[in-house]
Amino acid sequence: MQRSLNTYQLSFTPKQIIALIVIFVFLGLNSCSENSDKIVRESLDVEQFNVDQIIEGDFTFDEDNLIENVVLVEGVIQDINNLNNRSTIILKGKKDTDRLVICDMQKNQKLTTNSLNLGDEISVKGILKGTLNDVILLNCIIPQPKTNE
Amino acid sequence: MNKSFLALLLILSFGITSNSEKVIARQGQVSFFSYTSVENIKAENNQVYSIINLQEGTIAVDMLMNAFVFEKALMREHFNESYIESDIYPKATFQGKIIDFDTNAQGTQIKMIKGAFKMHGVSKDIEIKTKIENNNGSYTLSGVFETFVKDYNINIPPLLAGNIAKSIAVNFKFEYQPYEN
Repeated sequence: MQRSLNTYQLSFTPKQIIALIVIFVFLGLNSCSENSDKIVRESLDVEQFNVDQIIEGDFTFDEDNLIENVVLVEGVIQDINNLNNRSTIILKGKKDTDRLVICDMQKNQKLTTNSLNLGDEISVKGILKGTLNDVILLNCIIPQPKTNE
Repeated sequence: MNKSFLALLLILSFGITSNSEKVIARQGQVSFFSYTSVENIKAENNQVYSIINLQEGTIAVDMLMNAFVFEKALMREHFNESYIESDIYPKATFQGKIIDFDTNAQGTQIKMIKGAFKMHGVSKDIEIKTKIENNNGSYTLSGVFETFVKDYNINIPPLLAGNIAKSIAVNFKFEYQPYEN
């Protein structure tokens, strides 16, 4: 019995061990993702805009541009809804325009989103997808204020 | 003074009328399904923009191709980088007319929408059977149509041809609100 166990332990070559580690890392990364987009993290330092600035931005897929990158947008809540079973916050700016910022929230933001009210001034961090009439952000989170404790 | 006031009233009432003739959906839903024996692929876009001009019966739809969400990151990557090339063709659009649209009819009506669907740089005339629900001026449009990958010059590598259906089922649902500027 002891001999067979030893044989089993020795049956993993270094290459196989590396392969197993790669598989576990891959599975771990996959289990972290909510959907096909990358997860937006609170600690990430990103470019900041207010609503009026971002709706006037000319975003393309150029290397130095921000499409598919995480940005932080400050604005006033015009609407919070659960259309299509998605939790969405819509932000407006100070200018008189029908153009808004639509933030599709990550699932783990439900509690935070429920505590918000229309008219609140907030910051939202999300992946900039581009502009139709409105600016679209996906996988959004609401960064919590940092404490010194 | 009275004439000026009357003119102002006319201008204002014209403005209100022209806005109330339009309804808007900022969070329309478009999803597509590809069924093959190898794998099923589903993606969803919940930020599709659409406007209907009720007086003219015209409809416009605008969507960002990179805003489709997939189950797997690799599917999204292939869709955006290899098939749709969303860096070159970031949007798909539809412009059309709702045939025999009765804006006053309450409840459900089934109508055909005819128009041009442009995707991947290719514009194609299509007809879509659409369910229109009117609940006191709140319109919801929904339906499903089939589209063929080859019609839009989308090249699938032979190695992956078995993974992607030749015909893709596209579902849509738009809930419109009065357009307020």
